[in-house]
Amino acid sequence: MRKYQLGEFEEIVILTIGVLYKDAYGVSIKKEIESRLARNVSMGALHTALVRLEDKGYIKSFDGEATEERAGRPKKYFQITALGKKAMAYSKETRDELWSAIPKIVLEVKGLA
Amino acid sequence: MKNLPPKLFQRFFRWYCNSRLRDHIEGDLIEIYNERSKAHGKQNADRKFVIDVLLLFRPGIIKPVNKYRNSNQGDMVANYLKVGFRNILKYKVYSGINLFGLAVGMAASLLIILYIADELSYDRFQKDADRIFRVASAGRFQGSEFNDAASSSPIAEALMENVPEVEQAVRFGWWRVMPMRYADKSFVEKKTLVADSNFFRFFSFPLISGDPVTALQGMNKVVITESAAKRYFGGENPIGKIILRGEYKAATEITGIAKDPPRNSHIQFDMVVSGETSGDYLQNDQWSYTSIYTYVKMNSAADALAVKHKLDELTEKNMGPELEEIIGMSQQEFKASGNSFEFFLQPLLDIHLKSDLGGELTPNGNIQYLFIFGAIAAFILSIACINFMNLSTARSATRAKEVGVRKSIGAMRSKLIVQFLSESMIYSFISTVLALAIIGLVFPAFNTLAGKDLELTLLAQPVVIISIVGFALATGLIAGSYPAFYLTAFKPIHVLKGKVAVGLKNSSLRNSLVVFQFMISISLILGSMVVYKQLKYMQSKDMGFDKENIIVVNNLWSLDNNEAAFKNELSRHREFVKTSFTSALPPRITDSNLFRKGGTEKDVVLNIATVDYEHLSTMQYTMSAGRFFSPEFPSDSTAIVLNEAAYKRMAFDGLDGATVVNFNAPKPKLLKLIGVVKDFNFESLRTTVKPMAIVLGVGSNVWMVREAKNEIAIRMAPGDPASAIEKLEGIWKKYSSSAFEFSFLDQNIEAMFRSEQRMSRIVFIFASLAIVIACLGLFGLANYLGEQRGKEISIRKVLGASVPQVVILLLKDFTLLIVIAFVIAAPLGWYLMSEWLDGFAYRTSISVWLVLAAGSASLLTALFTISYQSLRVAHENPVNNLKGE
Repeated sequence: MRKYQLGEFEEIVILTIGVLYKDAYGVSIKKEIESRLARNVSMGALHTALVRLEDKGYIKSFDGEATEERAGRPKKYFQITALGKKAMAYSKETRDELWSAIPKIVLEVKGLA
Repeated sequence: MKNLPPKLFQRFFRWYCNSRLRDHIEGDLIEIYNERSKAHGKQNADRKFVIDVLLLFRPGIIKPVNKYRNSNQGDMVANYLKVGFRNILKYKVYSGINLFGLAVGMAASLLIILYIADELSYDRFQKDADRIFRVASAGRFQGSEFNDAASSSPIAEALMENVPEVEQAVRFGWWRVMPMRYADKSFVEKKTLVADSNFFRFFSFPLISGDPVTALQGMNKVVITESAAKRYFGGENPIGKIILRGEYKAATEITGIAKDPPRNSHIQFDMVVSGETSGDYLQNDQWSYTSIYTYVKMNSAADALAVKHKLDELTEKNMGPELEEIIGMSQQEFKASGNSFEFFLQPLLDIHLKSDLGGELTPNGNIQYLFIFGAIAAFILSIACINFMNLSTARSATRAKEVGVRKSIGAMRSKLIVQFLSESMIYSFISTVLALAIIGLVFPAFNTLAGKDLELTLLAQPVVIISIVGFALATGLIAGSYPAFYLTAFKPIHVLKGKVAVGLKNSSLRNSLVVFQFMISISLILGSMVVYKQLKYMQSKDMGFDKENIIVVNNLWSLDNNEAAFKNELSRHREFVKTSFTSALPPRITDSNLFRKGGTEKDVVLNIATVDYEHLSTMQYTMSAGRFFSPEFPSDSTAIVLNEAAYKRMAFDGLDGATVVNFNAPKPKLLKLIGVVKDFNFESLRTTVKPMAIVLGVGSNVWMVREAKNEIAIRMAPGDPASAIEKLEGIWKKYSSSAFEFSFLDQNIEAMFRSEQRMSRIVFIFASLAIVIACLGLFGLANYLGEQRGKEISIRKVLGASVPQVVILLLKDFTLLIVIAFVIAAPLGWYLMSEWLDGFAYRTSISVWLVLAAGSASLLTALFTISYQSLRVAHENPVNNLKGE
């Protein structure tokens, strides 16, 4: 069983890419995370995460069109690779296992279980 | 109106960002900027933009330091080396020129560095060398100045008693001629010291056997060096044995064996006799009798000034009464008439290079020469490096294609620079190896030339090896830097299109380099010519007597009572025209005494020699007034002959009643002036003829100076001296049991010019080297330019130019350069050589012709060098070059 290195923020980013499907690029990912999670995302953190994910092979990029708002710079769209899906699945499975292993009594908080 | 994000930060971002990501992230930044700008205004957008840019400055985003991962380092270096070697082999002529020039330059520089290092190392082996000083003397008397490395006996004790800053003091005298005998071995030792008992504790001359503390205590003790021990005792242990010293065969016990003093010590000796042996020498208390050498060790070098002051006080206190006694003047009168006498201190480490006093122990070096040679070495090396630069850039067209191709497949300029630098490193290292080989070959000649005795193993020391390697690296870097930068600046597009300018003709930098090279060469040639001329002048100068055909025989003292018989027998052979016994002969009449013009208070220092009746005819001096000593006048034992300079100095006006008083004897001695001899050079030609006196070497005249028992001068009949010398030796052996040592007077005089001879040879060699290297460079350049201008020449020929016209065309450019070099070098060289000549009282002049000769010599050499190329190119069939059009 392979170990998939996926940091917390990276996981969020990759999930968001999934959410956005064919529309995931720098600015859109940032906005999506900010609106869903109510946390500020800096460009630096985001792009670093994107570079790392790409280096690990979990996402791949393809160029989009250039627009005037971007002063002629092309967009870079991301999508999840097969390896990336495996990594997400692994992460989800391990989380779920851990969740189910917790005795009920710990989780007696509203909103859980 | 579109707002634009702050330009500065945008540029900052573009600068640091990895180019892979740059555009996309920048696009994102701009998109967000625009949105923010619409929603919250420009200021807000600007601020957030700046924050974003700053926050993006992190490892994942910033350009990697190595833009291109150097995964191929090793391979590339291998490629550079391979290509470098191939280039060397492909253009053997140029490579050969480069290598040879560099090697010669390096060899010369290295040798000079060795020489300088050795000169600087003198006396440094002495423990506490920086605290040791020598006491020397100097003064001014009757208008003439004098100085001497010697001091007087009482000074050491006076200093030790009265000056607390002086820790130790030692004195020694130097016997230049001391016969020594053991069993059947007898030699005349030329370097015998007679020293205080703390000699071996003061100086760092280690003893192989014997106790440094006690070896020199007591009378008649001697410590000999290892080599001396071998000479007398072979393999036997000399300790405790008795050796017979001097004319009177004093029994002296050997109490120690010292290691031979190192070559780089200004104090040299074969034997050291204990001071108590020679009562008079070290024990006398006359402050004004400077006959021995005194060295002191101070608590710290900074005390020197204080010690000097106290020394001055002591001198004044003690010299005063002595001066009164001898000269009859009180101290005040002495000083008032413009005279002075003082003892002063010299740091030990300054002696070899900076001291040039009378009576130096061993001939010293000269720090000026070190500078001169250092400069010359630097020049020669720079000429060689300039050659390298010139040749490399001249041939740039051949490498241009390679550079273009490399650049288009992705080589960065920095890598190309590395490539070319490593090529020049290859050259440099090969040259270094060659240079070392050259040094090995030339080393014995170098030793002779430099008057040294260095060993090749000096080069094997770690310090030297490291500096040679560093040297090679530095040369490679310096010589290769310019070509590297020049060659790698080509734009690939220009090169591949074939548009690389053959702008070699008029490269002003290259031309000025050639001018510089020839400037140096011309100066050196001029210098060499002047030194040579001066040397010839000195050698052929009329010294005032006939110096040819005179043989000098030493060890006169060994004839003992057989002197007259010896002279008699010699006179019976027609080969030996005249024989004379004397205390000293030119060029070494160095003894001097104080003399006073009779009837006045006028005192003068005169050099003095004691002779016999035959001296005038033997030496063929000319009398300008009066007569020489003659057996017809018994009163001549109290007569004196002066030279013209002395006569004038003492302001005599006629021989009648003229007398001279000498004060060396216990009672003043009155001498009658009977004649004046024409001035002759009895010392080096660096000074004018000093005033001197001659007396008969009899009886009480001995007080003045040594007896006339030092040297024999024999005038030979002209002809082959070899058989005459054999006969002479036979006769000698009949009357003397000492070795037969002889020399030719004219050679002795020539030997005086040794330092000038050496200078002449050295400058000549350097001049040749410089010109050879410069011409090498010229050869290469001419060769190359000839090739490059091939097309041009062919066209000219087709249009009707004749061969001579073409040749002249090619020569014209270079001739101009050399003329410019000459114009600059001539005044410079003339000025420098004039300064050098000023150091000689008798000197030649530098005529305009000489300067022109130097210039023409280099011009002709240069033309000769390039003529081959020019002729070859001029004769080429134009078809060859124009075929391709």
